[in-house]
Formats: sequence, C-alpha cells, structure tokens
Amino acid sequence: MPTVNGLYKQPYCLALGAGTALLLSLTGGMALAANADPAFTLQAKPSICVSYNNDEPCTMALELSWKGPLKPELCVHELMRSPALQCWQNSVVGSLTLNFANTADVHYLLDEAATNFNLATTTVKVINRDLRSSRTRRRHIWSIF
Amino acid sequence: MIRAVNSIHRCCLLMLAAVAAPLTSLAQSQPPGEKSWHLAVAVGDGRRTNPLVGGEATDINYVVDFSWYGDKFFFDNGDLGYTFTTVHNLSFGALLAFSNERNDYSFLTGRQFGLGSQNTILTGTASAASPCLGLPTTAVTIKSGDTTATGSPPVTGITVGNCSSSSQAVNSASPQNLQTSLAHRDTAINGGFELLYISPLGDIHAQVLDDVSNTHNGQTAWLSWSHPWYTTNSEVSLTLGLEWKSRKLVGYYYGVRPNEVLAGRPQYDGASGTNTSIKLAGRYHLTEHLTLAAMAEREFLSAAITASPVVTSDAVNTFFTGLFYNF
Repeated sequence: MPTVNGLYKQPYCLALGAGTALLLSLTGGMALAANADPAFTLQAKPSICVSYNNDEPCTMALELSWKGPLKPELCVHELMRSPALQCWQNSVVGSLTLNFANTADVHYLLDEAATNFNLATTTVKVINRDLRSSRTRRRHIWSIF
Repeated sequence: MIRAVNSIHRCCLLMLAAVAAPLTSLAQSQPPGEKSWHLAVAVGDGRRTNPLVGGEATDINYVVDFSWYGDKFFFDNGDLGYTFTTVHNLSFGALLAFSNERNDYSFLTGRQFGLGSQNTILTGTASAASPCLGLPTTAVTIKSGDTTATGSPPVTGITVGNCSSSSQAVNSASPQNLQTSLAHRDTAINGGFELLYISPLGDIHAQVLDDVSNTHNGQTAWLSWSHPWYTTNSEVSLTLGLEWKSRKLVGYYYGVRPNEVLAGRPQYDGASGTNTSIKLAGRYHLTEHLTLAAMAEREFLSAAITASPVVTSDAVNTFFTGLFYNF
C-alpha cells in the first residue's frame, strides 16, 4: 500500500496516466489499412463515421483513393457487393467520392478486374453513440471509467 | 466502518430488488441478439489520492464495470435509473445513486482516517475548545498541515486537556483508544433527475439530486461536458465537470460537530461549494474484447470542503493504466 513515498509519486503517476491516454490516441491514429499487395494502397477519408442517432444510418461524404503500379483495369467495390463502385483503366492513381450511409462497418476492396484478385482493402468504421451505453454518465469513486 | 458496510449492503439490496423486477420483464421484451448488459474487468496499476486528515491514497489494481440497460430502467455501476424519454440524442430520467463522499475512502481502504489513525509523533495546531481526551500528561500533538479553520498558529507539543492521572485514564492513552479518527458518517442515497445529451460538439450530462435516505438532507448538482475523439482502434475523451454540494451535505460529511472537536479539529459547520474536475481517458483496442486503457483525473475541491479541519488537500488525483476485458 502507498506510504509517504506514494504521495511523492502522485504528480508522476498522474502524468503517466494522462500520457498513456494521449499515446493511445496517437498510436491508434497510425493504424493503416491492410494491403493484400503491398504495392497498392486504398485509403478512406474519413475512415470513421460517428452516429448520434441509432434510428438512422450514419451518413457522411466519403472519399476513397488508391494508388499502385499500372494495371489494365482496377475496380473498387464493397465487400460481398457488386457491381463495382468505379473502375479505372491503365491508371496508377484513382479516387471517388460517395455518400456513405450505413449502420455497421463497411469494407472496401481494390481488385484487379480481370482476375478479381484483391490488391488492397480498407474499412470504414461506424461508431454508434448509444445514449444507453454512453460513457457520458458520471463515474463513481469505485468505477473510474 | 461496520455501520458503513451495513448501510451499503442495505442500499445494494434495495437497488437489486428494484432492478430484479424490470430485469424479468425485459427478458421477454428485449429483441433477440441485442445485448442489454455490459460487464468488463480491468486489471492494472492506479491510485486515488486521499484529501482527508491522516488519509492514505487508495491503490486501484482492478476495476469492475457493470451496467444493464432496459427499455426504461437501467443499472449503471451503482446507479439505478428510469428513463422518462429518449429523443434521438437526448435522454431525461430519474436516478437513484450512492453519494461520492469522504466515507467512501474508509469503505474502499478498510481504514479509519483521522488525527489518531497514524501512530506517529505529530506536530501542528491546537484549538482552544479542545476537550479532555483522557490523556493524562500526554502530549498529543497534531500532524503538520492540519491547520484549523480559524487559522491558529502552529503549536508543537502542546498538552491536551487537564486530566488527572488515574489508572483508567492511563489505560486509555494507548494509541488504539484515541478517539481522534474521523467520526463515522453514513452513506447517503441520492435521488433526482438526470439529463444526457450527445452531439458532435460534445456530450452534456446534468444531474440534480437530493438525499432521499434522510442521511444529511442535502442536495448536489452535477454538470459536465465531455468529448470523445476516435481513431480506427482507439479513442480518447476529455471531460470537464462541475459539482455543486449544498451546505447540509458538506456539513454532514466534512463538518466537525461540537462533540467531535479536538485540538487541531475545531467545530466546522460547512458551507455550499462547487468542485471542478478535469479527466482524460484513452483506450486502445487490442482485440475485440481486450482493451488497453488509461485515465487521469484531477478534482479540485471547493473552498467549502478545503476549509474543513478534516481535509488537508485541495484536490483529489486519480490515475489508472491497465488492461480492460469486455465480456
């Protein structure tokens, strides 16, 4: 149990907690989409949609962009859905903007049109801010989170 | 201490009984697949400082987080509530909640705090109103820093009282018999109303609560703004809070009654005041169920509380870093 020494540790401990909290957010921001082929990247901006109304889909303007080596034809589509959202021929970069409206996470894929081989993937995360499970509520002394 | 535990046990039983009824009806009304409860256990290293005289910080090595939300009723880490209305991102309801007051420190640590809680030689101040403590010719001195509300200059090594050296009094002079620990106070149950509002600009949480257990008959009001920021695998949130406490509440938990007056612990009736707090919390999701979590909070106590002779610090610091497992 803490004694007098523990009291001297207070500011450092507090700073440690605050620093860790900040670090968690920063490291999380570095998370990148997994790529099937490292030469290709597919990026979503923004990559998170925060919903404040559970009765309706989370909506936002979403930009998907890709880049990689030259291929005859590449297409971007949603996982398990067809047709493709857009295709590009003989390009090394491409982007499209769409109206995102979903209630759950959506995975987007960059595929080679001829073989359906997946080159890159990215995910748009949907966060439903449910009042019932919101951590907005005040925490008690015995429940700090 | 035992009374405090019994009081809390009674409160828990009341709350469990109140929760049990809606739980049974919810089992039928809850849509299949929708999880209405949340249980998480955190293990790690943390600490909450203790502003009380003779108080030691509380180690936080584990945290249990349990909540259950039905259509109307909910139980969230000790709070029992009923939601009157929820309109999109706004919720208004009634609430029963345990109070967060000084006796919680005794409950959490199992210790009594106070002038006699530490078997050490102390230095500090004296009160002119000090009664005899049954300490014949014993120099009872007060811990440095326990300055009185009246601002008496520090005096070292004073003799308390004017008692004769009877054998009975001598026996009572052992540290165990010093009646200088903080006087017992019951845990109160507060009832009132609550408002929750979430938006892209931040979340608002407001509570107005009254003591429904007739413990102190005081009131408290809480208002906070918080904002979460998200990344793909993590979130961080900042919370700024205000908590007003009525004079009766402060007087009950932080006051010193005439029969509790000692050297260095003068009478204190309390006053109303507002605590302020700032909290930063972060989470990094390692897997679907496992989260790395950290939080740091500083609560600035109101002048009404810091003026109390049983309080030696003007703030309470809390931090925790650990692993959170969501079931």
